[in-house]
Amino acid sequence: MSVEIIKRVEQLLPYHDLKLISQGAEALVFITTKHPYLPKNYKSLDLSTDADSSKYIIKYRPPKPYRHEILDKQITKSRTASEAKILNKLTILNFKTPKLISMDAPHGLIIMEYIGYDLNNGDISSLKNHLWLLEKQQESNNYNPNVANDASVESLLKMVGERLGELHLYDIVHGDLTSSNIMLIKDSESETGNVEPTLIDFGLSSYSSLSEDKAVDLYVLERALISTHPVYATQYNEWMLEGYCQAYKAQKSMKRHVEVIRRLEGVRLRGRKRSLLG
Amino acid sequence: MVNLDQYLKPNQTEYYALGLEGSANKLGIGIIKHNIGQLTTLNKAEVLSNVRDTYITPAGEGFLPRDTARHHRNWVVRLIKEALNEAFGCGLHDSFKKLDCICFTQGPGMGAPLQSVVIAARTLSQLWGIPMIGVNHCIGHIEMGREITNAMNPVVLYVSGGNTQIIAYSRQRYRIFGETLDIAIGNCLDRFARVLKISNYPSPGYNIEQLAKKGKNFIELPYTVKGMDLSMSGILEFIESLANDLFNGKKNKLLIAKNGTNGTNEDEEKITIEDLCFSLQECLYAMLVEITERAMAHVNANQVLIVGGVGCNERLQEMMKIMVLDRNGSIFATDERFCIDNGIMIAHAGLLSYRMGDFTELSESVCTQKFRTDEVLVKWRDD
Amino acid sequence: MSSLPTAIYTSPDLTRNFHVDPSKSHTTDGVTTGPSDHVLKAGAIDKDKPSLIPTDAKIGLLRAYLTTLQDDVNLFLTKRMAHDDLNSIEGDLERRILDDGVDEDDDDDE
Repeated sequence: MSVEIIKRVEQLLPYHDLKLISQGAEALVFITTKHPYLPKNYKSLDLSTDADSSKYIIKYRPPKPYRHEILDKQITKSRTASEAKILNKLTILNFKTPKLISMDAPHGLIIMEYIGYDLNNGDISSLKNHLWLLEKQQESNNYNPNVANDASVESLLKMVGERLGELHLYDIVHGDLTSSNIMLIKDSESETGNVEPTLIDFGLSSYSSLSEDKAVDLYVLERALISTHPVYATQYNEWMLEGYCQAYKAQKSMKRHVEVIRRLEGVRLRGRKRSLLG
Repeated sequence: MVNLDQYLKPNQTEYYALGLEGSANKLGIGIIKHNIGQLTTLNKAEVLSNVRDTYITPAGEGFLPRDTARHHRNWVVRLIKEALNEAFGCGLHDSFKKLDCICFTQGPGMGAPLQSVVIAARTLSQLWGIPMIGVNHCIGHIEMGREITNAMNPVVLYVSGGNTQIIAYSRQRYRIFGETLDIAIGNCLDRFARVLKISNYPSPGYNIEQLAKKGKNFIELPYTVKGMDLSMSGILEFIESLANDLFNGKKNKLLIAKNGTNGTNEDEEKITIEDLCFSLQECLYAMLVEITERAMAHVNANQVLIVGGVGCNERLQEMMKIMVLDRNGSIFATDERFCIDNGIMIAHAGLLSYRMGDFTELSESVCTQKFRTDEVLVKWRDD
Repeated sequence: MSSLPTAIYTSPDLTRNFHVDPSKSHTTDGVTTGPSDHVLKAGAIDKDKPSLIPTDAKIGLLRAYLTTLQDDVNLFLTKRMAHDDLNSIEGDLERRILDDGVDEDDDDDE
């Protein structure tokens, strides 16, 4: 099936060389070495970016044949446009996220800069893949009993919480937080090449100042970590929330933080109660 | 491999369990048989009997706990006798001696109906001297689905009147990856059926499905997927108000189909009840398929198993199949004997638990309306 | 099983004992354990009466005795509640538990 989808993308972007790197639930991600509108020999002069300027990412939302045509077109267009606008807004706010280069909403296309690197096993550097790799190492390696649970993982998860806190302080909720949607990048400015997290995949994002929506965002991430990384999830969530608190502290907004956490407790409780007949 | 025969009695070569289910308006009694050894494709569980009676209310009415509990109370003895007769053929006085355990739904579900059934279980347990096993209703659906379809490790979509969950197995628990943030999908469909005064026989969802087959105009409804979760109370409110306007003859521009064949308004078509049913299904099921796809991608699974009463719906199965085949995966579903609430799934899941040495003391046989799927330790699996 | 079921109601102003008279005839189709009024008004036809196949099983007879007892208790309580303030929350308790399925152990709703 993906052969047909690739053909369709090639028709929409006829002059690009395309390599498929991932097929998620909603979209396919390709790499290309050709910038959509700049000349071939153009070299990026934007030194403030951490991105690899020799390649770019094309995110394509194909039509979903199981959906009714009208519904499908509406969803593709609105999610593509919404994601692109939020990526743009975040770039203006100096929030670490891939920069938007171009978009074609009715056809479900977004072109953005390339971020991330390849892990030891060849997988892309999402938080999920990184943690799974560490967990595998821990299970098979008796010398490093805590590699999935140590200081570097702690600092990583705290940073995830901080990023999320910053996002929420801008009154933006992600809407689809999972460890697959957190991409690790190598911090080029640091000498040791430290790894830090960035948020990606803003297709379900929206603007909201409601503490309830931010609490649901946190709850979705908590549950995603519990279901995907069950062994250490409680610890991961603790660290993540510490980082989240730090972000609010840094902007002297502790009152808002308290409100979100209060709402979070309510959302968690509703989750526990939810197995009733409505 | 887990050893399922650690508690085998001397000279025993097979197990028999009685299952009692009554968490909603269906009272189901089933008797299942397991041969010793692992459950495999060559050593399947055998359904010896699977009987059910459903409490049905007049059109436009939902089922209340008090009446549902009464229905269960008054039918349970008859149905148990029927099940035993069908399974063992001999009289009541001998058949019960074959049973290893009496399994009952401990939760989740409606309080009073659950109570009616557990009282029957407790009575029989004491009368016959047979241990009881409390079973989680959702686990019953999942384990029966796996046994009937041979799906090894699928992402499970559990959709019924009381539950809407996306579940994947990991380390001895059925973990909830996504779920409804407010009402269950079956509940949404049932309540819409009440507004339209659709008959509750055989079930409101079935009748909505038949009407939807005749619908053709699609109305845009709020589409509310939130990550791996979904919300349905907004859609229900929206479509209920459309239906009310339709009945009251109120003018509402949403109730006029967008045809635009010749660009004029001459061929304006009015939206019908069939169109509303059609649009509701298309929207709700698309949301379910989307969150299922997300879960599949997230855990790298390529099998989907649909369980629960709403899983009988052909359109949902069709849409899910299209998505799954697109991903080169496989889809599994059961027929109405097993996807609608039944006693055999309780007997099966209960027997698995019993074979691992569990049983429920009388003092612990309290039912609970709230019982999360991931609270159960799945001892009978070690993958 | 030689003893008959009994019930005792006690309150500050009144104590009442309930007994079953075995010489009278008893049925499992009680007066107060029929379908709820709400559903009858909506036009329901009751197909869920207890099975009236006569039985001489001890358990069957016990159930019939308990049904009579339950009827007596229910009628008594209903009369009693009619005297209480009908606007109080307690007066509505029975309806809330039986019809709304309110789980009285759970106090932290909303």
